[in-house]
Amino acid sequence: MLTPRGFWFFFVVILMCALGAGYSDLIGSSIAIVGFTLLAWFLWEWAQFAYRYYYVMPNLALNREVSDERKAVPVLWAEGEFDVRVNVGLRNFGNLPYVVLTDWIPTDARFLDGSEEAVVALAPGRPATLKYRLQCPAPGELRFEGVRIRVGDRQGFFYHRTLIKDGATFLVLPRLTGAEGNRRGSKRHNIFPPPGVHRLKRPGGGSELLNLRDYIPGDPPKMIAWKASARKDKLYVKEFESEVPLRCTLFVDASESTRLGAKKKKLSRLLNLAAGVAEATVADRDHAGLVIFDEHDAQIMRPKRSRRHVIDMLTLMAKAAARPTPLGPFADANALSRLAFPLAHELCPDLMHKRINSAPAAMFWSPPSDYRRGWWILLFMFPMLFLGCGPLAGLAALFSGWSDPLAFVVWVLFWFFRNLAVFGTLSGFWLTVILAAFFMTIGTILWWSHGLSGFFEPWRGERLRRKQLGVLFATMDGEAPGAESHYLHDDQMFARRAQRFLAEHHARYPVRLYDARGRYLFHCRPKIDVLVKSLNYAVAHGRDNELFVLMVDLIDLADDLDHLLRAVRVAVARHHQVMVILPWQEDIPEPPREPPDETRIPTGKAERFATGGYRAIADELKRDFIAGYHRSYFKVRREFGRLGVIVVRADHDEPVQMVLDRLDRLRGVGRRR
Amino acid sequence: MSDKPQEPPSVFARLRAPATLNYLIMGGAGLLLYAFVMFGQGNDIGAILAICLAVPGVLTRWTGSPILILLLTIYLKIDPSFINIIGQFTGSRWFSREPPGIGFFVDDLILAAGLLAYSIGHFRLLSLIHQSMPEDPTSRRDVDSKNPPRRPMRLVGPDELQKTLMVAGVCVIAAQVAWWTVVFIERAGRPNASDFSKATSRLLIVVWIGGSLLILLSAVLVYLRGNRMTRSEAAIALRDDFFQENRRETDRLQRWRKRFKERVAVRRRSGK
Repeated sequence: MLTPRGFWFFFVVILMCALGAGYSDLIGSSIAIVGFTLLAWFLWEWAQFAYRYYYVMPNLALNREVSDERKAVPVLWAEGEFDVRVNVGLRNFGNLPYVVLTDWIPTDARFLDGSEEAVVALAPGRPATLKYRLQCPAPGELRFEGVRIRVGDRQGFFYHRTLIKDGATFLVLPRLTGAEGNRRGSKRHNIFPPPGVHRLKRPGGGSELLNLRDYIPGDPPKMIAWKASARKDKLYVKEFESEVPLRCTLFVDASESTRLGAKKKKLSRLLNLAAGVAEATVADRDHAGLVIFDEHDAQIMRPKRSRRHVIDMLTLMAKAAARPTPLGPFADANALSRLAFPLAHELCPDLMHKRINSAPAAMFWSPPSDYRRGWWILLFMFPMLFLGCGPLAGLAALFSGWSDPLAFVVWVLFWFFRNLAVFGTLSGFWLTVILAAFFMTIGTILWWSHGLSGFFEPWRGERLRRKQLGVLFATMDGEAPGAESHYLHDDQMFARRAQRFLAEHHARYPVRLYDARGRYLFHCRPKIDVLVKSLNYAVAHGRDNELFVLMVDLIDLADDLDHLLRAVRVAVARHHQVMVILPWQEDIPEPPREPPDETRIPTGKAERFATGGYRAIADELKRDFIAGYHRSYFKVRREFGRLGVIVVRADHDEPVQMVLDRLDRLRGVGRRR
Repeated sequence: MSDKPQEPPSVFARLRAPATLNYLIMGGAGLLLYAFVMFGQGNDIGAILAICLAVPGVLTRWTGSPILILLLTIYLKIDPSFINIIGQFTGSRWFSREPPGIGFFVDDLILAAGLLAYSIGHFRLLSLIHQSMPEDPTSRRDVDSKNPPRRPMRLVGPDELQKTLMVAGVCVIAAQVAWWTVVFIERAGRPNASDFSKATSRLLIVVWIGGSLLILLSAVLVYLRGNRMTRSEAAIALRDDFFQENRRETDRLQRWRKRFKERVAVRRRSGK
């Protein structure tokens, strides 16, 4: 509450009062009166600030509105621009003459223009407004944590910071891509094909004439085209268009491996792609379905073609995109505490204040006995045992029934010190005392220095952060008393909770991708089983020839495709079509057109390492990783290619058109209009 | 996030604004009053020194200059014209004596009013032209050292100066009354004049009254804090108490738990 400026002023004023009173018989009352005057003013300002802090600030309230060009909206669109308007005001009484308001802009949003900060004076009926413009780059969720409030007085003696919590979340739906997707709803009745051009070239029970064919005995007489038959003198039968719409089911992988990354996640790319395909499919009056799956379960939306269904699909996609960054099995607790601690101070300044979430000094003492090899300091105390040999001997004599224990003690002491070495003028006794004192001093110094080391950085900071965050986490989760000590001592437990805290508030944090042996930690075999189950379900419930688009991160699972290949084989055998779209990792270059020759043995590595050192080794590791990634890609492509399944990479917008072309092939139209 | 002007206007430009001009005049007037009183009491060098500290303090936006002037004033009242410092070399000593009376001198009031006006003017001026609250960096935003947070001139109300002057006047009167109270208690309540000197008695009275008020104030603040606590704050406070009381025991338990977990992990790795 008190700023450095205020503290020093107060200190000098108190000094003036004390010296003024203490020297008043020498110098008169002037210093005391000056001191009292300044103290009275200081107390007046403090009283005003304290009143505002205790009574006025709890009355602060905020109201947020996010709108597009026309009106306030409950959901947002990826890559769309939105206006954010925040009103902050006092509900009842009081006033705040100097307040700095700063809105907490969501981490995932891009600031365009306006100002998220304002310096204002607040009074009832005179709210302050913050207005700015944002862009949402990716689907998911925007979370507005609240407005940061900084209150000061007119001369900078007092200061308080807090946060008016908001916690409003807005779903960001994936953007609509492609010409079909951008088609306006009001024009949708103008998109029927012109007369004579048939969209569905399969015969069926529709009303539009498709073709004439020769009569086959058994055809119903009402289907005979009498005019054509009369002209040609041969019986012809009319065939009509099939009115069964095509059905396209999109399987989107929302597992942990697709949610890794800071901004350009694989999942975002897949969802944008799926949204484009779904929108275009529905715009063609076909059915689009969606299956979002991860390593645990799948959410299935059966194919439909209404606009409401498209919105529901986009909402489901946005919810999938809003899933947090995975936690990961291993994490550095101290690194995470350094990220979570300032965030917690900003989000919950009142709960992290040392007044209620304290850090007692004794907490930082670091006793050597806590450590596995700390006991060796006790060895320095060992010479002290020599001084205790007399009492020990007495005890031994007492318990062994010696007739004269005192005489025995004297005899033991005499024998012990007589046989100790004598150097110069030092007797054995004094030598023992000096040596024992020397080693004990060393032991004591070591003990104290080890214990005091906890009061210095980095240990002090680590313990402070862990303790305060531990108490905060345990309170937020409503855990039993004492749970905070788990967070203080258990690294993995703390790391997981800190990651969850960061993920809940959309803060970025490092995730370890590989373990100590270099194994990928997000290699997720269970998602294949979930995908296989979903695909089998879709095949079992498929009514006609359907298109299944598998948007799955399979490159890390190139060696575990057997189950999936079997399920795809069943789908293909039922005359369905299957496509696989692989999200491509951002920092991996495109693969060559042809798979590399695996029979070649690379040579000259040893020479490169010898000349290039660690840099050469790092480069070689990177090359190996890229080559392995390309190899896995080619393997996936080869395995699916055997079943006639196309595999494409999702690193640009081309796959949307490719999926739509595949739909046209199913319809029988050679080229998409 | 939002764009801010890179180069703030110069100090002289900021001092010319009406809002700052008021406080500049107030501070200057207070300093002049102070200087006149000090000149009148023979503290010429000290008064000139104070002016030399105050003027650059405004121009260079130095927060510490009023505090230095207050410290200088204390010294000058004890040792006017630095006689004792000079006396260290010349061998002569000098001490002022309390003037007789009941503790009311117009000079003191004017000096107090002058110093108060100067302090208010200086600190409020700094808030307007330099920095009004501490820089508070966040994890998402670095400190903009070129643009520290400062109170905008538009927030200075039309009646702010009048209210400030009224408060300053009340403070001066209250201080005089407080001093009279101390003197009265000292004269009326000192049982034996030989026990303590007058000054020591006054100091003890000030300490006792101040300490009593501090205890009362602390009690009120503790009550207010407890009364205004939210549910989460109360839960954290209780949990923190529990932690402080059981820290040693839970630490010991956690240490044993950790060692046991390590042993289990080692056994598991070795396949036993």
